[in-house]
Amino acid sequence: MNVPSYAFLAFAAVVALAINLSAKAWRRQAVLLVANLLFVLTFTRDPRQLAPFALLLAAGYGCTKLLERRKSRALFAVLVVALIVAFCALKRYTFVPSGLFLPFAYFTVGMSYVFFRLLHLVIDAYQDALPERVGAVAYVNYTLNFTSLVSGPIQFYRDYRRNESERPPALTGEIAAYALGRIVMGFFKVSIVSPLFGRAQSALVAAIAPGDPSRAVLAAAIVPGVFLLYLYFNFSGYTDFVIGTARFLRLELPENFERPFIATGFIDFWGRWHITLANWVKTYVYSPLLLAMMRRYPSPRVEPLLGVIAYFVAFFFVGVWHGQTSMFLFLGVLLGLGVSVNKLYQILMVRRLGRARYRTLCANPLYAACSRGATLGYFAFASLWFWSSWTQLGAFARALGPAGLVLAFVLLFAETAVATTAWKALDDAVRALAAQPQARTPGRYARLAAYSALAVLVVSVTVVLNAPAPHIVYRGF
Amino acid sequence: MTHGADARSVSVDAMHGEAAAARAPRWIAPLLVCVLAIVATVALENAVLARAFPHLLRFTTDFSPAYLARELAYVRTQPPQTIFFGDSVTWGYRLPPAQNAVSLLEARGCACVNFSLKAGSPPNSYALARLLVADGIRPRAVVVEINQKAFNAADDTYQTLHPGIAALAAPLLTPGDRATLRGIPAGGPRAQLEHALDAVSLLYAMRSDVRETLYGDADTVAVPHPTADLFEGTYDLSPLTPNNVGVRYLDATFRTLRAAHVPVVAFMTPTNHALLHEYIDAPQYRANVRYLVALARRDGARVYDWDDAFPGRLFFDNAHLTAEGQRRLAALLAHALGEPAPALSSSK
Repeated sequence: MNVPSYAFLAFAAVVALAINLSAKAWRRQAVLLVANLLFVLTFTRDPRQLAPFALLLAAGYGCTKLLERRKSRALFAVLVVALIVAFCALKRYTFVPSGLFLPFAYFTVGMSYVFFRLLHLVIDAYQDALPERVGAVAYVNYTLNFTSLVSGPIQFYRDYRRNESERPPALTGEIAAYALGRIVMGFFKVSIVSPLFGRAQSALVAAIAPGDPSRAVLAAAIVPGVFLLYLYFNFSGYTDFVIGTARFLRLELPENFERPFIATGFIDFWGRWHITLANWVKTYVYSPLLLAMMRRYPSPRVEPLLGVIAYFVAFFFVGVWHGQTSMFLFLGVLLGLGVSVNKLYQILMVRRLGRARYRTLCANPLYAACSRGATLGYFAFASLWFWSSWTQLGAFARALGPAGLVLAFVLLFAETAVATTAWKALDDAVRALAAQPQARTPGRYARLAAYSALAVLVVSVTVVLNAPAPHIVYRGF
Repeated sequence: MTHGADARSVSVDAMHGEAAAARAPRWIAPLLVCVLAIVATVALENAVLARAFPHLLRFTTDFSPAYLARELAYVRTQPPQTIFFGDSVTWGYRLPPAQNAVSLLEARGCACVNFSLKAGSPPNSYALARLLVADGIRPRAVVVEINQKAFNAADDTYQTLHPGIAALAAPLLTPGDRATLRGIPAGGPRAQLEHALDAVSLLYAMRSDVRETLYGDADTVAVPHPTADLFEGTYDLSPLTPNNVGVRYLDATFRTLRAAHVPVVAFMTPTNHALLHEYIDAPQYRANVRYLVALARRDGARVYDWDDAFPGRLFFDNAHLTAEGQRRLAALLAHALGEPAPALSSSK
C-alpha cells in the first residue's frame, strides 16, 4: 500500500473508527495490532518473503527481554553487534560479504526505521531506561506502527507508550481539523509540489552537458538546490500526511522538520531536518561516544575537540545509513565534515571573539544570510552524493570543466543565501500576521479556504488526472 | 402555575433559539468559506487551463472532445491552414511530436495543423471533415493519408470512431452512419453526468490531454525489431468494393470536402515493402492501391502514390517512419503542397 494514497486513508479511517469506539486501552492496542499486521500483509503475503523481517523483529524482542533481566556488558555488546550485522546483511550493504546475503527476495519496507526502534529498545533495556517491561503486543505495535512504518518518523518508546495509555491524546473537533489540514498539506506537497521540483531537476540534469558552457554552469548551480526542495517537499509532505493520519488514531508522532531553510549552521540544520533521525543519532551515537572519549581523555582543554570528533562520527553514520554503496560513504564523510567543521568554527569563534560578541555577530542579518547560504548550499552540494552516481558526477565535471565547477559552486552558495533569506522573510511575515490577535478569526477562515483550495488541487491531480503514485524518496530505507 | 410553566417553556425555547442562532454561524460560515474556496479554485483551474494549455503539435492518444472543440475553435480564428487527416504514420508514432512530418513543415513556416490520430481511419477522417464543414472552417487544403491496412474488413477498429471525435460529431451523423460505425455515444445518466462534470471543470473535461502532456503517453511500448510475421493478417488483399466501410467513408470524406470547396491532397501511406514483401507484394495489393488512388481522383483529390516510395531503413516496422523517414515524407508533402521543404539530413 502506498503512503500517501487514498487506499491508505481509507484503511486508516476504518482503523481510526475502531480505535475511537474502543474505550479501553487494551482494545485500542488489539485494534492497532491487527491493523499493523494487515498493513504489512498488503505488501506481501508470502511467508518466505516476510520471514527475514519477522526474524529480525523476533531477535530484537528476544534481545530486549534478555537485557531487561541480565545487565551484562559483554552480552549487550555481543547482541548489539549481532543485530547490526544481521541488519546490514538483510539490507545487503556492499561492505558485507555477499555470502551472508539471503539468496531470495524478501520484504524490507521500513526495515531501517524499524531497526532504529529495535536498537533503541535493546540499548534502553540494558541501561534500564525504559519506562516499563516491554510486552509483546506493545513491542509489535511500537516497531511496526503502520502510520510510521514506511519512512518514520522515529519515535522513542516512552513517547509512543503515552499514546497507548488509558488517556490517549484527545481528538477534539479542532484537533481533527488540524489533522485533516496536515493530511491535505502532506498530499499537496508530495503529489503536486515535489513532482514539479523532480521534473525541474531532471530537466536541469539534462542541461549539464558539453556544448553550451554558460547553460551547463547555470544548471549545475541550480540543480542541487532544486533537489533539496524536491526532497524537502517529498519527505516533509509524507511526514505531514502520516502525522495527520496518526492523530485520528489517537497517536501523536514526533515532528521531522522545523523550518530547515532558516538554519544558520549545520548543527542548527540537523535540529530542523529529519529531526527524529538526528535525535536518535545524537542520543545513541554522539552522546555515548563523547562520554566515552571524555572518560578516556578527561582534560577540559580537549573536551570541545572531542565534541568535534563525536559529531563527525555521528553524522558520518547518518550518511552511511542512507545507502549501501561507496557514494554513501562519501556522503557520510561530507555530512560528518559539515557538522564537525561547524562545531570547530563555533569553538574558534568563541575563543577569538568571546561568547557575547560571537552572539552579536550571529544576529547580524548579513552574517545570518551568509551562514544560511553556506549551510544549505553545503547540504545541497553534499546531496549530490545522495541522488547521483560517480559516473554522473564525472560527466558533470567533464561538462563544466575546472572553471565551470568553481563558478557553479560560487553561484550555488550565493543563490542559496538569497533564496533562504527570502524564505525566512516570508516565513517571519506570515508568523507575525498569524500572531496578531485581531487576525485570529480571519486567519482561521483563510486557513480553511487555503486547505479547501489545496484539497481541490490534490483531488484534481490525483483523481481527475490520475497522476502516477508519488515516489517517496525515503521509502526504500 | 400554567402561566408560569408556559413562561418558563417560552423562555427556555427562546434560549434554545438564541443558542441555535448563536451556533448556526459557527457551522455555516466555515461551510460557506469551504464552498467558496472550492468554487474559486475550480474557476481558477478553468481559467489557467483555458489560457495556459498549449495547442499541441498533435492530438494526444486519448484526446478529449473538449480539446478537439478548442482546436476547432482555434483553427476557425486563424487564416486558412492546411489540415492533415491521417493515422499513426502522420501522427508520428514512436517519435516525439516535433519530429513528425507535419511538425517539420510547421517549423519551416507552413500554416499546417495536424488532425491525425494515433488510431486514425477513414470513418474518423469523415467525422472530422463533417466537423470542419459544420464549424464553418475553410482550410486552404486538407491532406488525407490513405493507409491500405485501414480497409481490412475483418478489423472493426477501423470502423470505430475515436471517443473525442464521436462525442462532437454524433449530432452530425446519419442513421446509416450510426448503424455502421462503432463508438458513437448512446447517452444515458452516465453520459449526462460526464457532460455536467465537463461543463463544471475544464480540467475534468480535458483530463486525458493534460495527463498525457504532463506524464507522457503510456502506450509507448514497441517491438524493437519487428518481423514480418507480426503483421500477418494486417493487410487484407480481398478486392476493395464500394461496400467496404473504409472505402465508403473515404469516399464520403472526399465528397464532404469537395462539397465545401476544400482542395484535397491525398497520399498513399508509405509501406515497408522490404519487411512485408511476402504478405503484400502481390498483384491484388497493387490493384487495391490503384482502386483507392482512382477513387480519390474521381472525387477530385490530387493523389500521390508513395506506397512503395520509401526504403526499408526509413521504417520502424510495417509503416511507422523513423525520424529520417518523417523528414523524407515532409519533403514530399512540401513539394506536393508547394511549401518550403525541410532539410532531409538530420545533421542540418
